[in-house]
Amino acid sequence: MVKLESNAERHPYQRDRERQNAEKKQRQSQLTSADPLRQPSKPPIFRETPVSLPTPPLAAIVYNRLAFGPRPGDIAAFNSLAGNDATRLTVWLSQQFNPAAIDDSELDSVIASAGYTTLNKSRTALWNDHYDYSLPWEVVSQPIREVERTKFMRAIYGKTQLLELITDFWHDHFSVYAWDEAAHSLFPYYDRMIRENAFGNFRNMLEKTAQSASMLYYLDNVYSSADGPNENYARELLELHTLGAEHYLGAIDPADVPGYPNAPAGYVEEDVFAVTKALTGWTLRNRDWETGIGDTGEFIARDDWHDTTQKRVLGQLLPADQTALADGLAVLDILANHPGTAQFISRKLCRRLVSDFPPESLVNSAAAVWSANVTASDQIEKVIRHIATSSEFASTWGEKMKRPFAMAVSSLRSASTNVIFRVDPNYEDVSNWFLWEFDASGHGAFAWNPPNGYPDVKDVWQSSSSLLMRWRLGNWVINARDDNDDLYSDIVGQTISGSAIEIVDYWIDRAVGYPISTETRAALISFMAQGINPDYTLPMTEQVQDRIRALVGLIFMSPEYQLK
Amino acid sequence: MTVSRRQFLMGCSSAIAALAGSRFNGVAFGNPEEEPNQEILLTVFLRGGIDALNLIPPIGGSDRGVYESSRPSLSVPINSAIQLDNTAFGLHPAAASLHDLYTNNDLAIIHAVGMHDDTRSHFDAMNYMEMGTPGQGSTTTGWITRHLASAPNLPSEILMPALAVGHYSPISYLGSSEVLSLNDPYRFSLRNGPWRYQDAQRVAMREMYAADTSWIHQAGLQTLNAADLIEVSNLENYIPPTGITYPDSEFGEHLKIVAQLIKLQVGLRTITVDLGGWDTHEDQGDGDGGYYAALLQTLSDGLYALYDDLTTSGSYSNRLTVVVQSEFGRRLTENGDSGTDHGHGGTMLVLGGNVNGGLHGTWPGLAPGQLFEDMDLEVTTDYRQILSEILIRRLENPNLETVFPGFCDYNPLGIVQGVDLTPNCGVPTAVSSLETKTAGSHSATKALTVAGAGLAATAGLIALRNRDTT
Repeated sequence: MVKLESNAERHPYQRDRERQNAEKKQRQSQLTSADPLRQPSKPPIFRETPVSLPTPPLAAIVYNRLAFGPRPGDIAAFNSLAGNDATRLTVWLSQQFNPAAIDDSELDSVIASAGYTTLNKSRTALWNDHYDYSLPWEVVSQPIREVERTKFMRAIYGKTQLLELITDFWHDHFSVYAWDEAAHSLFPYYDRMIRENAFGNFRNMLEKTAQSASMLYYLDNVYSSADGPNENYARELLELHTLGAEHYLGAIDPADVPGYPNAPAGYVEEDVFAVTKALTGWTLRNRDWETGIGDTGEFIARDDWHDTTQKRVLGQLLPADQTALADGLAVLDILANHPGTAQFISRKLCRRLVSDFPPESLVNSAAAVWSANVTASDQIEKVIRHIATSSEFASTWGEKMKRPFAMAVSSLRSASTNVIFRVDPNYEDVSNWFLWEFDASGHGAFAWNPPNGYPDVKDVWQSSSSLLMRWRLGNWVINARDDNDDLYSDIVGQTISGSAIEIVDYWIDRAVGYPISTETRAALISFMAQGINPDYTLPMTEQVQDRIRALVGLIFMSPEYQLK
Repeated sequence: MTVSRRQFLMGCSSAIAALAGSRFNGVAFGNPEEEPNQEILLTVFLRGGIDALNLIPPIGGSDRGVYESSRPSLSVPINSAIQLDNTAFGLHPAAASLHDLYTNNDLAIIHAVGMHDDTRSHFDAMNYMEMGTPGQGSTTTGWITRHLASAPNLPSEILMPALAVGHYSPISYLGSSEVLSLNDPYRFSLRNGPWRYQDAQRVAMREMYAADTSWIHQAGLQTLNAADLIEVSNLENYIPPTGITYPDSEFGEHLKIVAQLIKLQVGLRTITVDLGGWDTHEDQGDGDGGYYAALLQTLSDGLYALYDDLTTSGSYSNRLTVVVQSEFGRRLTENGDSGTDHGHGGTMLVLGGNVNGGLHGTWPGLAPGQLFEDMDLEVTTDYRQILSEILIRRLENPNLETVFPGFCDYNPLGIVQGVDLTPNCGVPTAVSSLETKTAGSHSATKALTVAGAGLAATAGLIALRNRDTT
C-alpha cells in the first residue's frame, strides 16, 4: 500500500514530470503577447442568458455604476447639468474629481452626530491609543468599527460618490482583512491613505500601502528579515497588487521569459524570491522588537535586517549592498512601471465600471492611458475618466450585478432612510443589527480574509445564499424600527396618494429611476392592488400603508434593482 | 439559453410543496430505499494550503532527520505523533479522531499528492484544481459541474442535486445552474417584511422572477425554490444523536447542515464545504500545539462527528465518499517566523463506507535530490487520479475526458471499492455542447481573468487565514 523507502532510481511519476515539462515549454512558446493560458478569453456559458432590457438614460447608468445609486433628486440634478448627456457627464466628472470643492455638509453633520473619535488620529496616536491588547477589546477595535460604519455613512449620505466608489475599489485591490492583528487599530490611517490616493498616482499609493502597518502585519512583511525571509507579501505584491497572476509564469528560468532582460513579459518564481529579499527589513517602529527604533507604528526600513546580496527583479539588477529602502523602492518602481501592471489594473477598473468581461479594446486603451501617465499625479483620475467617457460605458447595461454593499446602500438612498451608525460599546446600536444582517450577504466591510479582495463578478453574487440575504436587506430597509417603534424609513410619508398603478409607477421612478420590464411592473401592480381594480385610488388604511412599504421592499428585491 | 440541462431544482416547486407536507410528519422528503444507489460526494477544501508535512510527518528513516533539521521549531515530536500502522509515518496528535476512522478502515490517506503544475499562487492553484484543468485558467466550468452534467446514472429530476455550504459556491461548481449555496439556515427565509404581506410578497417575487429570460431571473427563481424548501426543513434547530458533538465553529455548523440535508433525502449528489485558515506563514504553533493544531482538531473532530452521525442515523455513510483536499502543501524548511511558505506536494484524505483505509501513494523522500525545485515535497500522485477512481468506482461516471479533459488515464490506486467501468475518453454529445455554446452577445471578446477581482476569485472565498485577535 505504501512505500516506506523512497525510490530515487525510478519514480512512477516520471511520465507526469515529462508531461509537465512539455506543458511548460508549450507555455513559454505562447508567451509572446497576452498569455492565453493565464489570460483566458472564453466566457462562462451557463446562466449567461443576457438581460434584454433597453439601456436606461445615462444619468441612471452614472448613478448606478459611478455611484451607489441615486437619491431622490440626483437624476434630475444630473440632467440639469448641461444640454446633452456627454456634456453632463463631463461636468459631473469634473465635479467628482474635485471632491474638496463639493458641499458635503449633510454627511459632515451625520459624521459629527455619530461621535466618531478615531478617524482623524495620526498613525502614532492610533498605535499608542488602541493597539494594545491590555486595553479592553472595545478600545482596541474602536478604530475598525468606526471605519466600517463610516463606509456606510459616506456611501449613503456623501456627495463625493465617485470617490467612495473608487476608494471601495482600491480597498478590494489592496485588500486587508481589517480584523487582523494591528490592522484593526490602525485602519483609519489605512482608509485615509487609500482615500487620499484614490484618484492620484498608483506608484505613490503602492508605496503607502507597502509601508502601512495594516499591510505589513496582514501579509507578514513586518517579520521578514535576511535571516528569516517571509515570502507572503512579496508574492501577493506581484500577483495581486501589480502585475497580476495573468503575468505569472511559474518556475521557469527567468532568462526564458520573452523580452528578458529589458522587457520581460511576466514574472517567475525567481522574481518572487528576489522581491522577498529586496523587501527584507521593511517593517515598523514596534515595541515588540528590540528597543532603539522607537515605538510609533511608523514605517522603518531596517538595514540591519536587510538582505544585502545582489538581486535581479524582472531583469533589472539591484546591486549588492544597497540599503533596505533603496532596494524596496527600486522594486516598487519596477513593478509600477511594468506594462503588465497597467493591463492588469486597467482591466480591473473596466470590470468595476463597465462590465464583468469588458471589451479588450477598452482595457487596452485604458492601459495605454495608464502607462502614458505613470508619473502623473492624477494618473488614476485620467484612466477613470477615459473609461467613464468611453462609448462602451454608456452603451453597456445589465452585465453587472450590484454587490450586496451597493444593493444595501442604494436601497437606503432610495428610501431616504434616516439612520446613523454609531459605535456602541454595548453593541446595541442599530448598526449592530444592520451589520449582522448585512454580513450574512457575504460582503462584510473589510472582512474578506484572503488578500485578493471581494470578487467583482456576478457569478459569485448570484449564489442563492448571498442573493437571499441581500433580498432580506430590502425588507430590512422598509421594516426596521427604532427603540420608539418608529420606522427608520418613512416610506409612506414619501408616497403620493393614488391608485395601485400610480403608486407603483411613482416608486419605480423614484427608486429605480428608469422604466422597468413589463413583467416586473405587472407583478408589482398586482401586489399593490391585491385583487382590487388597480385604477382605483387606494385609501391610506393601516393595511395599505404596510402594503406600500412591502411594495418598496419588493422593488429593492426586483431583478432590475440588482443590476447595474 | 439553448443549453439542454436537467430540470434540477428549478421548476420543482410543486414537488417541494408536496414533499414538504410529509416533512411536517417528521419524516424525510424521501426514503433511502427510494434511491438505493444514490452516492453522495462531499468535498472539503482546506483553503490556504495545509501543511501536509505536519499532518503526516515522517517518524522514521533518514527523512526524519531531514524533517527535524528543516523544521527546528515546528516538527511534530516522534513520541506525540500517532504511528500509522507499521509505517514510518505518523499522524499529528491533534488529528487523533481521524486515527479512529483510520483504524476502522474508513479513512484513506494519500501523501505526496497534488498538481504537477508549478504554481505557488493560492488563487491559480485553487482555480486549476477546482476547474479540474491544471495549468488552464480559462476553463469555464468546474469539475463537479461537468460530473453532474455527464453522469449517466442521474434521474432527470432531482430536488436538490448539488449543494455548496457557505455564502458562495466554489470554482468546482463554476458554471453550474443547479448548485444551491446555503450558509445560514436560520436566515434562509424572506419572512422579514411586514407580516401581513409575507405570503403576498412571495407571490410577487415569483411573478417578478418567473420570466426565465436572464441569468438574474434564473438565479432568483432557484433561490425562491430553495427558500421554500429550507424554510420548512427546520435546519436551524438540529439536535445530533446522543454522544455526537460537532465542533463549536462555523465548520461544525456547516457540517450539521450537510448531515441534515443528507438525512432529509432531498437527492443530494455533490456537496462542498470549505475550511479556511491554513495559510500559516507565521506562528504556526510548535510541533504538537498552537494555531495549526487547533485548526487541525476542528477539521478532525468535525469529520468524525459527521461520519459518526451519518453512521448512527442510518446507512448513509455507506453511500458517502468524503474527499479532503487543499491547493498545495507547504515548504519543507520553516521560515523565519515559525511558519511555512507556499510549497508543492500535499495530502488528500478520503473517508467513507467503501474506502480501503490506510496510507496510500508513493513517498518521494525529502533528501535534496528528491524535492520539488530543491525545496518542496514532490507530487507523485496527480489529485485527478484519486478523483477519477471515485468517479468511476463510487459515482459510476465513466466520462473521465469530460470531467478531467486531457487526463483520461485511468489508473486506480485502490482507494475505494467498486467496479472499474471502462473509461470514456471521448466527450458525450450532450455534454460537449456545454463547453462550445456561448450565450448570445457574450462571445470571444470577453476575458476571464484568473486573479484579483476576477471570476475565479471565488477560489479564495473562504479565509486562507483566521487570525481574529479577539
